[in-house]
Amino acid sequence: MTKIIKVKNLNKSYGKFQALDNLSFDVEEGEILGLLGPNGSGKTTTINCILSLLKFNSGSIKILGKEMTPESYDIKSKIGVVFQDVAVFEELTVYENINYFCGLYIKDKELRKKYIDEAIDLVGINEFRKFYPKQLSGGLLRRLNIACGIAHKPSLIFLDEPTVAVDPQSRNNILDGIKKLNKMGATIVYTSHYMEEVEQLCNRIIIIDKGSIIASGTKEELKDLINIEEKVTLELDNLSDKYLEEIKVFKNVEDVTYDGKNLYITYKKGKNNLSDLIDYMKDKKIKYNKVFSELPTLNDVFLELTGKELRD
Amino acid sequence: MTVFNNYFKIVKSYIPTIIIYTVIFVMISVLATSSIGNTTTDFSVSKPNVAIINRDNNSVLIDSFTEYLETTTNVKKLKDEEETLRDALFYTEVDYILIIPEGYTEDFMNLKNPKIDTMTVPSSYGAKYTEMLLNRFLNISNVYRTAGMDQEIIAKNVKIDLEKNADVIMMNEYDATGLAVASYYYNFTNYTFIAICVYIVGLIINSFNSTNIKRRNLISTFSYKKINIQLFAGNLCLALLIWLLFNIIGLIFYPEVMMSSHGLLLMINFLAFSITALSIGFLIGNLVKSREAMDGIVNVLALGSSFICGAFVPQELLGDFVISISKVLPSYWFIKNNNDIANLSSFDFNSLQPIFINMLIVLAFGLAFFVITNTVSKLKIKNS
Amino acid sequence: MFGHLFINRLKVLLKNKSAIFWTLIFPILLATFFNLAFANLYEDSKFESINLAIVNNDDFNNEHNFKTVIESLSKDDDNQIFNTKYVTEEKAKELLDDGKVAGYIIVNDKIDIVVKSNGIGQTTIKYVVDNYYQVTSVMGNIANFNPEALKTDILNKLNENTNNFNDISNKNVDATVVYFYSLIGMICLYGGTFGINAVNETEANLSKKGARVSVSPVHKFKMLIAALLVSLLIQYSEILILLGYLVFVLNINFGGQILPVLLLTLVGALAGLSLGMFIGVSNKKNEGMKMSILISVTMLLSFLSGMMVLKMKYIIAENVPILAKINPVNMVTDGLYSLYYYNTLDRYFYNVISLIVFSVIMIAISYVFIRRKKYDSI
Repeated sequence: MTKIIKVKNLNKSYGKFQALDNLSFDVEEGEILGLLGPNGSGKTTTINCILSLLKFNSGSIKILGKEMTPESYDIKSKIGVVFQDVAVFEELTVYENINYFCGLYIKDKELRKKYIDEAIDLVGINEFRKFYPKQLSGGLLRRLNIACGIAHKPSLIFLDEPTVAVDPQSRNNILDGIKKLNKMGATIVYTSHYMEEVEQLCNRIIIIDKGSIIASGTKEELKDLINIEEKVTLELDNLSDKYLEEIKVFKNVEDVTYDGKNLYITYKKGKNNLSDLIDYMKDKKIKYNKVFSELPTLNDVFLELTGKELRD
Repeated sequence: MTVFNNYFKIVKSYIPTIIIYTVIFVMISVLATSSIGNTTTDFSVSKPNVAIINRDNNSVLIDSFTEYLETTTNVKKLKDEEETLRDALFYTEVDYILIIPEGYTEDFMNLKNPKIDTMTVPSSYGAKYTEMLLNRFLNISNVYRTAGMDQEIIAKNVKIDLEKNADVIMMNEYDATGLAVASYYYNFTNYTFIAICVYIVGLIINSFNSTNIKRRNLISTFSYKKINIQLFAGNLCLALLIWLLFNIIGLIFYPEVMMSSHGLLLMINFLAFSITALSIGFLIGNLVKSREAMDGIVNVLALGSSFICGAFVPQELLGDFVISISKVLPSYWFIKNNNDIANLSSFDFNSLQPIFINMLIVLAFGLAFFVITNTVSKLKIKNS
Repeated sequence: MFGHLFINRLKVLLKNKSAIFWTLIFPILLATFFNLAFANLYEDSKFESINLAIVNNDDFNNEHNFKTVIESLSKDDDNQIFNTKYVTEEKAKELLDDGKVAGYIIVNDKIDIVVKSNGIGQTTIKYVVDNYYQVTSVMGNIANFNPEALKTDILNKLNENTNNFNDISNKNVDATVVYFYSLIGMICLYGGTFGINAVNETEANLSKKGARVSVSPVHKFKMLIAALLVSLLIQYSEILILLGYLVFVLNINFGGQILPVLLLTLVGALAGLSLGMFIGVSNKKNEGMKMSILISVTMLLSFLSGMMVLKMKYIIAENVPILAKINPVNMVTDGLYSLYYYNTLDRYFYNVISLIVFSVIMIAISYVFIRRKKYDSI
């Protein structure tokens, strides 16, 4: 597998503040790589350095085997970027906007027209071709933003928090679109602080905090890193302290809390944890209403590795 | 008080702009005032610069003529070359050039009434007046010639004649020239104060409106009137600072004139105008949304009013039609008052009354603009 | 690629109707105001008679000749110069105090003029009294020399007020055109706002669109030049409209040579744009701040070219000539004035070239700044 991007020992500081601390990672061809981390962890800074927009203090960045510089026009022509903020012209229609940005990459008018239509289809804004950005909702604007960034069919796409403040329908649309792009052969680097998206979308994930990589790997690999296997929630009205203490010492139990309404149990690895618990309840004739069982999320991974939540 | 505080936060963000604008326009004010020479009709301020080119032979007539010229003007030497002469006028090195043609003396003495060629910079009152005096010289000489006198006698007599001058008694104990300069300085502030103040106030109010439109719901317990009053108070502080700055500069450059009753009145008059100017800025800030529009409007207002109300071209030189239009603007009354103050020779109630009435007129404009602003705010809220 | 950039930029700018409207309307408004202010300046026509008071004492009444002169100048006919009141000394003082007369005359053993200030009115009064003294003196001298001459109409000559002078000035000597020329210069520089705008949209640390552009395979400078050309097109069109208004509606004289004026204003517009571009790339402040810098600098340069105080142009040219030579507003003003005033085009071309040099320098420096393509922070 060729490595499309190679980042080695990337350091960037703003005065005394170290934004990126000896960052090293690779991006494989054809994968969807997620950069996950809370606000201010350095995700966007990393992307900007890779794109040669930001100066960095030390380290090397290679894209497609070559050192990336602002003049690397051949590399740039293969890259598509969707920034966090919507960057479109208020004065142009949806179609005109995509046409403009695509036109910076594709000179052939016929080919460009085809690409624009395909981009509009991909993000699903066909009925809005003649609309102006002012007339679009947040979600549609984001979709336009994406179309502008990928219309020229780049082989490497960067998406920086593309779904912030977007309605659920648009969000799903966007995620589908990204999967489609990947299927068509694009390598994707996706940053977000929404773990559900990253879980849903990405093959490989890099968790970043305070400018350093905390962990990296596939979803499964990451979850294997932590102790938690399962989280169970029981809705019950009345639980005596005696039973609570007994449950605390069940095998594989990591942690138990009860707030008067719900019983929360986190389990370490092991099998049949839930069924054992249910049997116990039956046995002691403890009435309960609902039962939830969750697998650990990336947030749990993050929480355990850093002691913080992904979303503040 | 939150609005008031918020206002100053916004002001802080504009500090670099405020400083640049203030420095540049104060500088313009000072430079302009120190160069007023030929824009006033006060002849004691400057003697015109004149050049005389003699293409005739030297003669007693021409010598005495030149001598007379030297008593009434500054005579400069210029080379008799077309380009040099044109350039001298182009750059008003001289306001007026006299070219005495060949054979002039002979023709003159033969009563052929020859003419001397002139070239002039047209807007120069000095040049016009000089020509009047020179005409008198030559006409008297002509009369003497007709009576039969020769050059020497003519020269002698003309000199005696023209030395006969009426005595002019200045009833004003005050420094008329200094006052003319000071009043010009304050008239010029019509341009520079509006340029700074209306612009900045307009920007800040604009800014305030756009950031606070979201928070407007929260502040909705405040009536728009209360908001406007607090904003106005904020603006007032800013305007007062700039007002103070101009006055200090005035005191530094023209201390004798400014530290007098005249100076005090000029400052008070300026204060009244400052309040009105900021009220204009307030109105514009609330009416105008786009930045380009704001730039354009302030410039038109500052420059336009300065031209038609007599800050650049003195009021006495403006046509009747223009004056009648300009009375509609507070600038007219501000400038008129400055001129009137400069001409005050006594400070009793009768003399001061019209001065204060003019100030009230200026303030009345300010009040009117404030009321309009409130109405505009009201309408905006109704619409949104 | 260039065409693509050009057309899109044009579309974007033309949509911003408010900016186009205001940048067009306000110079026209200003020109109208200027014109109003100057309307009366050269009408020697309506001469308003001057208010004068005479202290009506015995000495005055005994001075027959003088009395006659005053009365004839105060007569309500075509030659009326004075609006005269014959009052007591106290009343005269009062009238002067109240500003109701320009001055008053009191005759004792000599004729005295009492005034409060030094304007046209006062000078006229002095001129008249001086004249009286002088005519009296002339009569005396002639009487001494050749009394026979007095019997002829010799003294009428004095009253004829012959003009001994012949104005051979260039027929184009209306100095107020300088105001309009400097207005054009100011407008050229105001076009710099378009320049700042163009820069804003190509720099990643100034706008999001700039970031997009920075990661595309298009050279930023190319993009900027395309934007600049579009701006030039729009700006120049506005200037043409302004020129049309000045020439056809306000009848301002440009010396009758159209093509040179068109060329000069074109390079003037270019200079303004390039200045805006320079301000845009050379500092990191926000757009609003840059606009403020451009505007205040423009007004200062306009002032130094004589826009508010005509004399400034000359004072600078005489005392700080280097300033006059590098001031782009002055280059435009000067260029236009030399078309109007001189017969040759030397000075005109000097200014055209100066403007081109100015533009080239600004663009070159901007290029140097743009080469810095990575940012310390975005």
